[in-house]
Amino acid sequence: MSTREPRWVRWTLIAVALAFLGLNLALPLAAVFAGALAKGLTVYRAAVVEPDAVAAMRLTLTVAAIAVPLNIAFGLAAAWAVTKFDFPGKALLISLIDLPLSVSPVVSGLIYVLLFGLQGWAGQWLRAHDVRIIFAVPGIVLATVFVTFPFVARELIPLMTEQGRSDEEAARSLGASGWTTFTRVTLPNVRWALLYGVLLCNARAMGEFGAVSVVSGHIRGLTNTLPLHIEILYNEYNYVAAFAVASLLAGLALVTLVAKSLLEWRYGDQLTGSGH
Amino acid sequence: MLPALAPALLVSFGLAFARGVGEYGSVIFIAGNLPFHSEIAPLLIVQQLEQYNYAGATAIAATMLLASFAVLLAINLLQAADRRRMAT
Amino acid sequence: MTVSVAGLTKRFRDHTALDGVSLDVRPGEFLALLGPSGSGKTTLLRIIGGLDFPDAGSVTFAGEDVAGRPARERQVGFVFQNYALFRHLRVADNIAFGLTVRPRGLRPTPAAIRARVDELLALVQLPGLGRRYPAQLSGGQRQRVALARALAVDPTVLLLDEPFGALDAKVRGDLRRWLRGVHETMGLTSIFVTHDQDEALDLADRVAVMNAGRIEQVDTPDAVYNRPATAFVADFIGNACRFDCRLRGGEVELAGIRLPNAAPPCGDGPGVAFVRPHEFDLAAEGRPGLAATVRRVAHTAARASVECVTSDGRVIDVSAPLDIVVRGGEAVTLVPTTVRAYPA
Repeated sequence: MSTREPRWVRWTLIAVALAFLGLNLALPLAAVFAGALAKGLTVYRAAVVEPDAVAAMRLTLTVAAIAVPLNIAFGLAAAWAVTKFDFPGKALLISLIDLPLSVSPVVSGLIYVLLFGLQGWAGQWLRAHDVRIIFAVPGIVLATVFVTFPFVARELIPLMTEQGRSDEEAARSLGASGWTTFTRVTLPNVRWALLYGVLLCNARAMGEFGAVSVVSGHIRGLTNTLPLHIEILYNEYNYVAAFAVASLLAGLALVTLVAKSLLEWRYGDQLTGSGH
Repeated sequence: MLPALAPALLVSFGLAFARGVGEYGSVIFIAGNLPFHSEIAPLLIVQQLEQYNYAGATAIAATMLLASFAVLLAINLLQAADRRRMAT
Repeated sequence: MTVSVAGLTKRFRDHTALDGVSLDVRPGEFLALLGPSGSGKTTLLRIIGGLDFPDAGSVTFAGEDVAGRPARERQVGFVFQNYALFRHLRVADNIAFGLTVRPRGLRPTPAAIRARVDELLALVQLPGLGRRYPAQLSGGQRQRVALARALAVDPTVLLLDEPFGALDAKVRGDLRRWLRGVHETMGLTSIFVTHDQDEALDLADRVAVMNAGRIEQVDTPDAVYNRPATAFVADFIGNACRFDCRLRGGEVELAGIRLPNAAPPCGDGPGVAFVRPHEFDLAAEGRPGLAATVRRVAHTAARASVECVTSDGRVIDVSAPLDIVVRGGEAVTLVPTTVRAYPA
């Protein structure tokens, strides 16, 4: 589609967009890697294999490994319920799904502290049963699940809404059970949108700071995720080590961006549902 | 083109606003966090929590939530009015 | 197999889709549910198929009450308006779907499934297209695959929802003939929904005309066309023109003339009369009848189409024999030759 804007307008707009991207994306990423390697590869390696850093990496990976599958299940269930059925309170559920996105991460963490902290609602009961949620790994997992919940659901709902129910009804009329319909008809129809949502969910799960910071207790080697570990290093003025560990997350961001772009380029029409 | 985009822009603004009001991690790294000067609300919440002042933390959180909610509500109402106007 | 519904009622949030509908479909019959949008015909079809459930009433297959059974257990073949083919599966896998989801004990062997798929592909005249994906097929081909898929599970009833709605005119005509042929070969009780009266009158053994959640008439196409039972049917079928009239002693008084009433007998009083475009005679100006002026004459079909404007500004398209001699601007009188009138 050609427009009638003069060339200089087009080039200016492109330049502005590129400058914005450069300033907010390329420059910070470059700064992270530059800062990480400022004192050479040996110092870089040392920072990355340091025990607390390794523990933080392991915790981040564990949390993501639990939170992402949980949110795949929740997201699929929510999208399936919202798009294939009619029930009272549907509009409320849809707004609730978007809730974690508009709430401050700190407030998200606060919710769990208020629920499960020592002075919280379930605090006394948990203490009596020697179950530690806040200031322990379960709390971190819960907070991460809450914060990353919308990503899968939000990718799936528009697509599944657009696809409608006739495929599922056809499968049912041919004799398929609910589960078979889900696995052999619904899932294949949304597989790329699901993968896209998983990418976003994972990136957020590994990089979440605010909510995890509130519930974790910052116990070195035990309840520090990568982002929290980076904060500690930074507050101790150990900038090179901080950048070194941060470069891991920056690398993750790059990989996510590339994967995301690949999906958009190859399966774009199946992400927003114009292929029926 | 702008009039057609207006509803979408409005919703985007609402979400960006809510997110911006709540952003914590990146801000505290660079803000300096001087009281009454460069301290953000989420940081206040964290400080209250560290002092186990749950009531104080909840109060600040509730205020933030109300503010975001009010903005989102206003935008939603504007959108609904706009839709009604377009449909007549 | 007989399909019967009795007293079906279905209400949605803001309107009543079905209002006490009863219908008996004979074994092996090809029945059309015809009506304007919103008449409830798709709702009725879906309730028969088990995709929706009524608020009241019963659905029986061969005397057995199936109201409690969901679609899975009713052994119906459903063909959807937009085909609903599984786009990530090849044509052959689409057709085989119903057989492959059967529980282990009832599932045919892969060889048997393949044989059945080939058999069905031949039936729907798409041999050798099994390895293609739905996206690679034309609309008409997709429709035939959808039918093959529905037939694969040996249904007892075949239900089709606006099967040709999304296709263009030429393809529609070919597929109509073909579907009629398939029906004659298989002898399955079939019910299809359409808003296209030509299709319904052309294909069906019987037509059920529906309006606002009720069945107005169930009859052969000939009866529905020539002996409409109610004003709605007379109006809906055959592009009739509607007039106000007076009914008196079995005769209709309209535009100053009196004609026998071709509709079922009714009492005296004010009424509505329907005259079809080919049921007007064009007479000279000043005779008893409807005074009108000819606006356009077209000789582009099997009969001439004469567009006339009456003295009160109403436009009537009259269908006249091709050898009619009138031209634009001429003053004529429209004389109804057949009229069907019903109480107002």
